[in-house]
Amino acid sequence: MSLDYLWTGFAVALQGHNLLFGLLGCFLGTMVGALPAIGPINGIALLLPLAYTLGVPAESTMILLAGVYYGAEYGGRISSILLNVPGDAGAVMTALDGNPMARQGRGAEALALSGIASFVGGMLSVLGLTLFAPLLGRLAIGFGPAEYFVLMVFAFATLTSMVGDQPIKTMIGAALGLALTTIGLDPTSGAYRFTFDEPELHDGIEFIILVIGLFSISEVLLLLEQQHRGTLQFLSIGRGFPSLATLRDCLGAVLRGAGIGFVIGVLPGTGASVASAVAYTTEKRISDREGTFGKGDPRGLAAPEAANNAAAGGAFVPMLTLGVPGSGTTAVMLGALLLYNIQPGPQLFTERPEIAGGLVASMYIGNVLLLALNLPLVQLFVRMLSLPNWILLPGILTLAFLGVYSTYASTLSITIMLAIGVVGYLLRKLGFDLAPVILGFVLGKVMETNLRNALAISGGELGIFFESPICLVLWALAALVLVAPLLSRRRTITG
Amino acid sequence: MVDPVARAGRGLAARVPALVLLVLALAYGFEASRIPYAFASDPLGPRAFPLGLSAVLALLAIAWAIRPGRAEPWPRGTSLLEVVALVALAFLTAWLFDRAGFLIAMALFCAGVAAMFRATLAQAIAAGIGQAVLWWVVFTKGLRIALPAGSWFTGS
Repeated sequence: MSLDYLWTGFAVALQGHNLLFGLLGCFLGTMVGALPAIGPINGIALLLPLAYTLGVPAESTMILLAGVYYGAEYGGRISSILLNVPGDAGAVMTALDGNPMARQGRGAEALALSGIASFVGGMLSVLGLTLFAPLLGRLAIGFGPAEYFVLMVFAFATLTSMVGDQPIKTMIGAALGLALTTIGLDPTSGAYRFTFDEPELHDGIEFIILVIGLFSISEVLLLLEQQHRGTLQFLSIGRGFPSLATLRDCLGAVLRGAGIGFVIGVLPGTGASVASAVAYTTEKRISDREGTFGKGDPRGLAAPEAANNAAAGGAFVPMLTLGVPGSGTTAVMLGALLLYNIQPGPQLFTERPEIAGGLVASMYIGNVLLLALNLPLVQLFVRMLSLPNWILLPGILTLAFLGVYSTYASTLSITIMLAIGVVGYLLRKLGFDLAPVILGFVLGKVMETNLRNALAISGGELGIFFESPICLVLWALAALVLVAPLLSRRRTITG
Repeated sequence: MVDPVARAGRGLAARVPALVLLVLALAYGFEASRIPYAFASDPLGPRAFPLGLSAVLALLAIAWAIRPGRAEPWPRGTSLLEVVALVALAFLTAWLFDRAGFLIAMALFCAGVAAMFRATLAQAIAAGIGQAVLWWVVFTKGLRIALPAGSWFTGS
């Protein structure tokens, strides 16, 4: 198996400016991860238009954004542990044992241990990405339009069964995202769809406008509404470092967490939040003999932290090789690639090794940088947590305005962004997760094009979707992921 | 995430959003059925995919109406007023953006947002002017991205 792309990648990622982009991404990522107000999607959504407008090359942009992504998985733990408020969705489980540890005065130990667990989980998953992605890529070379269409069906099936506990709303979100992609010029027939004679809509809804509106604007509205819920209490960090015995105790938890995280990360649509939840419950079942989980057991902290970082790496596997994002955040990164007119797929590793390889190599470097940033500088990030909302949120909104304006140079696009933001707010109040909307949006064009191309090849015969072994396997997998949760639910009820 | 999510009402009110979605899905399907096109190089054409989506969305909307599921309670009183005020202020800022220029529009906006997030009057004014000037300098001087100076003043 050829790892040439990786050597090309290291040559790219080790260039001075790319190292700086990586460092900047890791720093900003830890920050947005730590701040409860903004998660990785917001960080990426607000940085992408700037990088794009400034003409930053595609590989450097991806290195920057990837740094934000897994940096956020490091940062999310800080507020989980010290405030009992997860900095982002992947860090919810971290609070279960991390916060009790801090209450017992072991805050510093918890932060260091979770930093190390994050590092191991992150490194193992990049290793998995390095080895696994070209293999999956080779498999994907045999994919035609029919296979790609069925792959999308599989992606939506996993999304439905894994994300959230309200599958109908997940499906509605994905369908809304798909519907949004049908706005604008249809390239195959030259027809204008749903444009209502408005020239601004001829190119469809712009990706950056959608992401910033859905996530950043709706987030600020939610925060505004929730600020009456009392102030948060900081726990002091204290001093200390996990002992060798603790680290040895946690080794199994970290390795299991990393494995679970990587596999779940690879599955389309399921990111860090699902991975850390599964890792935590698994670890609790395996190791919790004395009933110490939830009361500050280091293993209960190490497992989800390793898992959420591993999931971040795993989510890149299907994104880079198949063009199907493994999580909401990688969906935004896929949108970023498309913005640069780069279509991910098996050819990415051979034809654009500087992008695929540069990204993968930067993740090795980034994990080392993050460990170095997070162990000694944790105090600095903690201090940022006390930045008041009246400074932080006007800044976020200004960046949202600027991001959209600098990319499209029109105030109408700002208005559209705000309208989308209000819709995003309403959807979140109604119990929707917004990641499926973005996933539907980045997959919609590909799904429709492949559906139509496949039927053009077969002359309208639907049989083409059931002919090749790959299609049949994908149908079977789709059925499996839909049925599996129902079966396991039944077993827990009867058992 | 950690906030306890309250149960929304069981009655008709909880089902209104689903019914709105149903209407939207049908309208989307209706529009899809009249997409004008002269030719299509594929057997499916430009109408089929949105039509299929419309049907799926309509079915999902009905399923949602039958079982509304969990939702968060809507804001009331001051909270509701603040959310509405922020949205209105944001749209106003978008309208002012190239008329009054970036500096004035954003200073007003940031001051308003800061005030809503519990800044004192002095803090809000400082936040408004500070943010507007900071980002103006970063973008126009540092990143060399042109921002509107305001058509009311430049006369263009």
